Amino acid sequence: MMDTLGFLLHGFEVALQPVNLMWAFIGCLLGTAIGVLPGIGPALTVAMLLPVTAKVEPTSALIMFCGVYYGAMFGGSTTSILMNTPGESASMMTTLEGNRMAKNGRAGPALATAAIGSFVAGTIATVLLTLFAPLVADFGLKFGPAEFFSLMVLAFVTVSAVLGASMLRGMTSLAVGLAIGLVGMDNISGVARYTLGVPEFVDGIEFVLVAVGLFAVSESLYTVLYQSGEGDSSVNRMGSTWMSAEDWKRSWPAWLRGTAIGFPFGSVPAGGAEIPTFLSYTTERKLTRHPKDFSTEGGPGAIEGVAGPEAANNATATGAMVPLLTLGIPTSATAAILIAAFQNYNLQPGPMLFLDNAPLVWGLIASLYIGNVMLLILNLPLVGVWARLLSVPKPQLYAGILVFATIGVFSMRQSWFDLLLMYVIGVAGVIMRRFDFPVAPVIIGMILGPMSEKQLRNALAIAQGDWLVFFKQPIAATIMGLTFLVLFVPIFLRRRGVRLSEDD
Amino acid sequence: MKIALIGKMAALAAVQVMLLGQVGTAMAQAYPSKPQRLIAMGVGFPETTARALGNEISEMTKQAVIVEPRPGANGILAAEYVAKSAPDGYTILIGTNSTHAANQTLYKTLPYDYVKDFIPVSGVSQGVILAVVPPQVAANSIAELTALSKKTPGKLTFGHGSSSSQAAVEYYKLLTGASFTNVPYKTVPQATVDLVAGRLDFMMVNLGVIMPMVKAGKVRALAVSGRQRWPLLPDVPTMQEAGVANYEWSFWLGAWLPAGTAKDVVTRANQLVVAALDRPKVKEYLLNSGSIPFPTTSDELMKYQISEYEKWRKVILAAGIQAD
Repeated sequence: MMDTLGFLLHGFEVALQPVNLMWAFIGCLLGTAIGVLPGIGPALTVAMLLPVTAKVEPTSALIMFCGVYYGAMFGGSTTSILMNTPGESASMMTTLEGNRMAKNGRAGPALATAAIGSFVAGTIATVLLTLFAPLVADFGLKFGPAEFFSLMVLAFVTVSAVLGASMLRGMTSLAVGLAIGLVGMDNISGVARYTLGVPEFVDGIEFVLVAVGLFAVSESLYTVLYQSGEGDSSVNRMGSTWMSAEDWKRSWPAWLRGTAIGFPFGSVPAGGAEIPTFLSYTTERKLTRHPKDFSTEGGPGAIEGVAGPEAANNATATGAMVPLLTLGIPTSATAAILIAAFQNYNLQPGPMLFLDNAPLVWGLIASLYIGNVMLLILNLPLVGVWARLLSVPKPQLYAGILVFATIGVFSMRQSWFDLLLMYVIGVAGVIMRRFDFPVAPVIIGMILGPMSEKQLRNALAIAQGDWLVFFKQPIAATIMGLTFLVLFVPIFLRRRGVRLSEDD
Repeated sequence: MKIALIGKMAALAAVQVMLLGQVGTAMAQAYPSKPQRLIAMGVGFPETTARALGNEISEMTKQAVIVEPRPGANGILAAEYVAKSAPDGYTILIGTNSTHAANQTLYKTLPYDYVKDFIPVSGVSQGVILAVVPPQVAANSIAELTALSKKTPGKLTFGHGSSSSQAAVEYYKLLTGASFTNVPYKTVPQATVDLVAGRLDFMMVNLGVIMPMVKAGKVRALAVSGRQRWPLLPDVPTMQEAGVANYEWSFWLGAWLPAGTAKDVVTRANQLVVAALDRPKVKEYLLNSGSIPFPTTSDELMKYQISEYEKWRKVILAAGIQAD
């Protein structure tokens, strides 16, 4: 324990050197800029910057890369809130409430709670990383396909939180999402499903593309087609840029809950940030005292629905450092590139890294603390600037969003096919909006469907076809138990005459 | 907003240029007289290898080398793109055993012909595959593992996340009659995690991915797949030494130009790739990732890819592997 503190203090000594502070700043700045653009992810950016490692100290370079990684996670929330355009899958849930708040003149508080929530979650998660990294790594390893599938079941049970007013329409959207998720190569049998012989479909349909099409493109087109009469020159309403006392009161418990959900998830190798943000959102939806504020109920946007998922998102990003450092297995594209960066210095992330290269690891962890502060300093002043963006007249704003979406999606693979697909999906989104089908469940179905299929089949393959595996392993069984509670306790309580917030 | 965005993108580009510091002056000389593009068939190893090569080539030619990953469909998208590019020597494919040996059998139709649509430039690397088991599997050698698997047919599982990591095991099964249940994953690292956690019993996996786990004693290495032992694991026998006669397997990378590229351009490209592979930084990078440099002539790579095609075809058809 004392060793840990000593190492950490030395780490701060390294990370606080002016030159390293500069690299952390450059990293955060680049990362934020990249997170804002849909399509360009942290992996690509770090890859482009890799040659830098030839000229810069290992510690400095890694500090910068972590800044990029962090900043990108963070930057995604800005476009989600302002433009209804989730830059990456982890910002999807932020879009739901955040953009609704922005449309009702509350972009400022939404951006602020995202920035501060990210800071709070990032800092707490870094403390947990400092204290418990090796323990957490062992916990993460216990999460196999069976445990994962149980979590998926839990996620599906809580999905009603996003379905909106009409259950039937919500379920239809969800089914469409599940269907889109099926497109592509089935990775068990190798059969290409629903690809219509188009090679671009073989790897499935990219999440960002569908999200940008359904959210940004369809909204822009919808506004042009059906709302243009109401005021070509109309401007979005502007309210206060700052969080009120009420906003703070509603935000902080959501930040803490988001962190508690996100960090353990990050520590699971290849866990991904989608499920924790989703679970955080549904948790907030269930616990809130203001259910009428939620966009799914036609409300003006609930701040806890931004605070929770944003905190979860950042806590996951930090938690993901655990498997990266302690296992050295590249479970995501960004992790793969970061590991390549380590290897450029003859450092091998893995179980031995903490023993062999302690100064570097602790310098890196210290820089995570600094990166969090840096991001907050960088982004809080920008909140006002970003929020003012919405005062651009609607025609220009929506034209800008279309240009922006097009650049982003094109930059993913430089493929005209992707652009065509994005606009086709955009038009489909217009039709859905016209007939009151919610678009969020499509994305949820698209994310959860393939994940749960994969985990189910792997779990069964490992268990040699034994379906009881989900109830035989302690963690999986616990999650399954929790799922039953979530499903049946409300029914039971209602029978006993207890009123629940969701009944309001 | 757009202006701010463009500003940021420009800043990003500027930082990159500044940091690279390698933007040479245009040379009036012959090929390459403008930036070359290396099209990597996937992100991850093909991409980082292309970048390692690109940096050295760029230093030699004083021309920028742009690495462009075009992942997707087992490399088909990248291969098709290069096959249809102008044969001027400025668009080079960094492909693998997937694009130029396995896909031909895995897929019923391909939008490119691996022999007719390309001119081989040179091999790039050959990756070593390590046969590993987690500690609780009671086998200290390949022979013991084979015996154990035959005693409890289908009870032991093996994981894989790519056609090459599956085919390596299928080839071993084919030659020895060992019996394992197949657990497919989308990527190699996901399967590796389940192996390290003890949920899987056996894997044949890229050495670069698994090496830290071997060093830390989390998994036990039984054999390497190549013809020679790996310098950093002198005690681990080759599959042939471990008693599997004729076994040799690797995942390999190569460089190709579109068919129709002028002969002197191909020759120059070959010189550049071969010279880059001899540079210390590239050698070190490859060693760290568990591969050895694989410089060849254009003809040698052509022969190699055809023989690999035949070997893959045999294993794929025997094991009933389909595209992944």
